[in-house]
Amino acid sequence: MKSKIREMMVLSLYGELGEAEEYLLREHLDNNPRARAEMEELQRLHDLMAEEPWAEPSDELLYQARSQLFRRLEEQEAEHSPAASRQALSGAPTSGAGALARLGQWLLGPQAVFGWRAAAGAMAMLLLGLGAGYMLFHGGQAPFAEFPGENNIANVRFLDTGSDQLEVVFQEVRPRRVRGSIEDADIRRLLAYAAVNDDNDGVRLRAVDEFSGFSAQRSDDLVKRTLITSLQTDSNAGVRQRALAALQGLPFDSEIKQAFLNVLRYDPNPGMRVAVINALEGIRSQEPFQVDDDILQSLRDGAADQNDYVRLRSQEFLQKVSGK
Amino acid sequence: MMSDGRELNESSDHQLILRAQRGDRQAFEGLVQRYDRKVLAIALSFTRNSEDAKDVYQEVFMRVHRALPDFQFRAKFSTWLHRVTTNVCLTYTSRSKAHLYDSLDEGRAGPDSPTLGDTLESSDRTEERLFRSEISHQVRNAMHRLSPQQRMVFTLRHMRGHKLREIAEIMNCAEGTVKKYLFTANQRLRDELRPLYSDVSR
Repeated sequence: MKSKIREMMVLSLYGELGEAEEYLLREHLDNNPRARAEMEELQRLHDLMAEEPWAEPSDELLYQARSQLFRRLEEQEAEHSPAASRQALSGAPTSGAGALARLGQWLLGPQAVFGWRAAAGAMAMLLLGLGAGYMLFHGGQAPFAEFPGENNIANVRFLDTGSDQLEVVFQEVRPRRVRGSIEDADIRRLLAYAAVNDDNDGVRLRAVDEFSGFSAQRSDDLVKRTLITSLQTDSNAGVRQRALAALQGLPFDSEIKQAFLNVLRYDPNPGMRVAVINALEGIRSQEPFQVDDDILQSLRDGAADQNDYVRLRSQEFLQKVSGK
Repeated sequence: MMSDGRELNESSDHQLILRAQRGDRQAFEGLVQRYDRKVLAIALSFTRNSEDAKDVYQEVFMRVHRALPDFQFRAKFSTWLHRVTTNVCLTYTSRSKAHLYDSLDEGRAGPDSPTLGDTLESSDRTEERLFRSEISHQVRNAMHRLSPQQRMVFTLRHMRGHKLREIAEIMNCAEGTVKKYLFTANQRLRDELRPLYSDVSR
């Protein structure tokens, strides 16, 4: 198929074709089933990409980025203002203290004149000092950060109301405690959630490790899929490595095979790529599995890897399985 | 100069820029709030994770803040801002090369995030998340194997909905070049993700 037609297909999907070209393309598609199939395939790709959830930032992420920026600007402004040295003596302003610092800076700034503004400025700086001292002796915690009851608050956001009213949105975080063994399905679901979602590397590692002991004894679909997800997507190589070890205790099936081959092809860590070859070799020595084209192709790719040791191990295993 | 929120909302870009150029930080913050969601969205689509996206966001607005006094209204502010965003993205090096994965709640977290009870009641949700995350992972990997220019054009057109001529203006290149990047990006993604969308559509 001519590349011009292919280009027109892509442009058509984005609504970037002129009327005349669109007409030509439709005519071509009507008379050419192969081209029509290709167009449908492109459409499916677009549908798939449209489902991706990461195109829009959450309000929380935007708020974090914005707060960080405004803080930097504030610091930068303070550094370049004559009041900077006075602020430095009082400690870096944060949160509520920042507002006082700005007030002091405005009052004592270059436009200040002797008289009431200078006096008010001195008062503001005194308040800032007292505020900083209060926070220092209260372990750096502002008193209003405490919240009644056992709940904590997190992710505070301010909404613009367009009036002098403040609207604050926040999450109440309530600690919960559950107890149970790995045999308990609820505990396993909780571990699966932690293994995939938790921000803390140590928590994910622990969750995967817990599955390691369980998976050696019996097969469970949720456990298998969690371990496969951790193996392929976790940002921490240690967690991926433990997930790989845990998966070796499960019956080797097509899903696990595919996950292993994905690691061999795409994992950025050469240690992981070597580990997966070792895993394949180890599994094969215990329960011989059929070495299909997928595995052979992945090993051939591995034999061209940029890392010397991955190349060497891929070649060795390739020779072994192909009997050469 | 002090400004109140309503006044900022009603000011035009032109007025805000002039005031920001004279050192009115609130006017600059007003400009930021007007456009920063788009900047962060581009950064998030282009980079691998939210930490990198936040880094890009900071760098973009710090550059804009430094250069704003010299802005002479030859281009629309939004076009200039997108150009800065594109340049920062194209030259940005991720802090974490191995950062392949973001929280599955990315872009969705809010006050109504699921409680533990919800999570435990719905095993389907966990499995769906696992399945979705596998797909996301492969899509992102495929995206990140594109060249930075292909990925940027794809991000701006496919995810942000910019027209090709706008992208050419933002990226300071010919529209034909943009078409070529978009075409190649689509071909490469189609080849790499074929097994995936064949499975999903079944």
